[in-house]
Amino acid sequence: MSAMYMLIAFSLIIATGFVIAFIWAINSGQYDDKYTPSVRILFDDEPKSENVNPSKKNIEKKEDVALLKNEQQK
Amino acid sequence: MFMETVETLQKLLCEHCGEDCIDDSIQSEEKLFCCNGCKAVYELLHEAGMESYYSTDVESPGVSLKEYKFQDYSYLDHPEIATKVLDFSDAKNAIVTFKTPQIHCASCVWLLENISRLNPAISFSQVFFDKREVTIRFDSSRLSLSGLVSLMTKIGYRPDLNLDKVQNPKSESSDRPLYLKIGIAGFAFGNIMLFSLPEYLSGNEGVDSQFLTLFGTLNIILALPVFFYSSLDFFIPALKSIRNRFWSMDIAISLGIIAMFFRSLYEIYAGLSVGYMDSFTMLVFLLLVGRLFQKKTYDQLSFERDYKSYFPLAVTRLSKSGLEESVAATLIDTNDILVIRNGELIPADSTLLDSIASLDYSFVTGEADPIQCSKGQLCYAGGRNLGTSVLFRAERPVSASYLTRLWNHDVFAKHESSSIQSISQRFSRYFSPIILGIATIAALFWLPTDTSLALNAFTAVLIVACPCALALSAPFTLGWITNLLSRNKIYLKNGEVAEKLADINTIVFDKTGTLTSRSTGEVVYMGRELSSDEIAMLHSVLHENTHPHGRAFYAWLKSNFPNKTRFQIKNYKEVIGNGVESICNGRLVRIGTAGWVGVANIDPKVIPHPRLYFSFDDQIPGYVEIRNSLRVGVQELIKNLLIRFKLFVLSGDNSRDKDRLSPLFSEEVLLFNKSPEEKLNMIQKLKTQGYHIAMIGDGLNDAGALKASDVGISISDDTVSFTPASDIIMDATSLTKLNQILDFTKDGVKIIYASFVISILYNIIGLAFAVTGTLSPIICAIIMPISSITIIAFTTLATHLSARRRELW
Repeated sequence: MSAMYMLIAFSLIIATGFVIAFIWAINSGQYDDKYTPSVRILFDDEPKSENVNPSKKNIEKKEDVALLKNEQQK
Repeated sequence: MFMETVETLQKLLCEHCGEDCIDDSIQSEEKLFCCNGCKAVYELLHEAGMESYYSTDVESPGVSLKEYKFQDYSYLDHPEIATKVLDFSDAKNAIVTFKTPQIHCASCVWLLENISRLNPAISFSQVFFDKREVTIRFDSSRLSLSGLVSLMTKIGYRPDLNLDKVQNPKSESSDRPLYLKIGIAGFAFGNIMLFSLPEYLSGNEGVDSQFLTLFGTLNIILALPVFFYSSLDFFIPALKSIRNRFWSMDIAISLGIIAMFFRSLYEIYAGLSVGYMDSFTMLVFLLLVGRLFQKKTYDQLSFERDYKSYFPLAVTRLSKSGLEESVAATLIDTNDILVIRNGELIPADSTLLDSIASLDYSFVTGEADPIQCSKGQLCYAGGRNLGTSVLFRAERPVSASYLTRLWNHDVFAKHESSSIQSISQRFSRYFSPIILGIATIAALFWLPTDTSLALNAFTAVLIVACPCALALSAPFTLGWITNLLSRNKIYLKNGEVAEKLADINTIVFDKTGTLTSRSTGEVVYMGRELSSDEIAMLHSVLHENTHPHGRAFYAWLKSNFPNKTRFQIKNYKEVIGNGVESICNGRLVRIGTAGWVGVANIDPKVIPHPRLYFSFDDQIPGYVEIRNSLRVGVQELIKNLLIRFKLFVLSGDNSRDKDRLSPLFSEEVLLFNKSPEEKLNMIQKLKTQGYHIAMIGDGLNDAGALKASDVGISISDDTVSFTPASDIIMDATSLTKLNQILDFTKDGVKIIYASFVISILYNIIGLAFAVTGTLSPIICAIIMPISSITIIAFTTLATHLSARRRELW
């Protein structure tokens, strides 16, 4: 029966992981805009883009904006 | 011969915005455009290599720039205004969020998110589609705020900049806490269910005692965040209603939650069972989902606008040295000299300094025809200048003007007072005390024989009577009603509005813009037959005219005499208050008032409807009369409504349309020449007489009446444009469905009552177990989900069936 205890522990750890992921997703604003991302994903990357890795650069920018907004709120 | 070739031509559509092109004179790279604005955008995008805009979503995604007028945005660089418009700024970067109602498709998102390619100073932009907002970060040392706004205006996305933006810092309401609460409750519910199942399935012998303690402890740990965080949504309102000495549904729910939680603690501690934690968390989860469902909001719409959203952010002022400068509208002082250009609004009550001006007050006062003002006349704020730019002298600051004084009235001061209680509120006033009563009686009954059984029965009643299904009835019914109505372009502020609408017995209409259409007048031509050349000449001269009568005449010509020929026009001249003249096809064409064209003995004050005369050289073939046309289907709607409702018409316009309305309405309910205050007072008077009123209007002059009525419905020709504060925003095309909508909301109330009956039946079954003290966790865990699912299924089905029957779905 000791296997049960282990399994229960595992299941709780995994479930808690999902809850934490969910809380993080909410707090990082992923549920604020539920429409635009569905459109955005369909845009083609421009072939003649100068940026080496445009997608990565974009992410940095988005974090920047979130950061700046947070600073302002404080 | 010539006409034939014209007719065989295909319809010419603008490459940018997809609207009809009048001819093929505006071209770029073999692409056709309807106006130079559209062409400019195309060339701009083409140069930047951004043709993807035209292939991302719809065929021609652009916003038409026909109405585009250059505006001076330099006032935005004034630090005082800039700080209020910007979200954030430091030495290098600035972040700004604009409301751009023109956003309508994926191409818009693409263009605005790639706007940095049009100006390298922009480093980042992100669109929030549901809110029709775009957030832009730019280098403020290389690009000014006014430059950014100009760029956006140039590509067709003019940001919504008005007084509101400066005076009210935006308040962000977020759904985040609700999502968090639902997520946590759902997580706890799922896991607790797993730990409770072994006991339910183990039959009579029960689970091993060591597992019982383990599962029980885990259940408590999992339920704690639900009790202390997710349930706050019920505890806080319950406390509030206790303080206000009022029985609300939240009290019954909170009692049930508390009873379940503490009884479970006791049972787990005593080693009796794993408790009711599964029912408890499921209850909280389902109720919160119900709240989310009812809360569906329309981010792109605003139900709280006042005059500040209508007036511009800044105006042009003539400084003492005679230079034009942009100032914030709030800073206008008495005796300032203002320059009001074509299409701009007068921001404050002012005296006209130029000799004549033509002002359109239709939105502000309800008067359908433009007003001619002469020198020295006091003009009220809110008029739109239809002529060339004129000078005014401000008499009062913006906040003290005739129009804005309306918002000082009491009805705007007090907050939403729920004079009509919602059905659930009325119901719970009896429900909660009755449940507490039954619980006490059950406890008292068992007290002499068995104290633990008495406590058992008391908590069991509270648990099983917890109005889960009951509390879901109204949110799901009202949520579905809101949802189904929004598919018909009728947007409710919240679910309670649907309940109030079901209670209406009187409907008050505004005339201009509501019963009649604001844009299209009915045009009647009186005179001899016109030759095709003459029609072409009228076409050519009227093409550039901006006066509403001229536009109505032009629209009528276009639809009745389709004609692609255009003559060159020379010496075009527009005289405010009179008309236009031009030399066209070698003849002098004049269009305008009787006096302007040369018809004597016609007093414009005597004729019932405005007329436009026209002449070729000195020959006058006739005139057109422009009547306000009723919206399509209004006549039939009124006839149907009259059977069940009392109807009134409150118009700010004069009584010349009386003849057209009197066949529909009786004499004493047609009220004309009403000022905004009189409209408001009229509604309040009717309310004291016991009428439940729905006011339907569209202009700023209806704002007071909309607010004072039980349900304020504002009509809008396109749902992006300005609407005064109201409970419902309705697309004008849906006005004819008003009868069905009212029926539908009445059905909704019946559905709520029916689901009350169903959930009460479940409650009675549960109570039978409870009062005898035999309620076990497993019975609780079965009754609760079944009753909730029955209610959700029933309300969903019933609302959809009703919508189908009312032809709304």
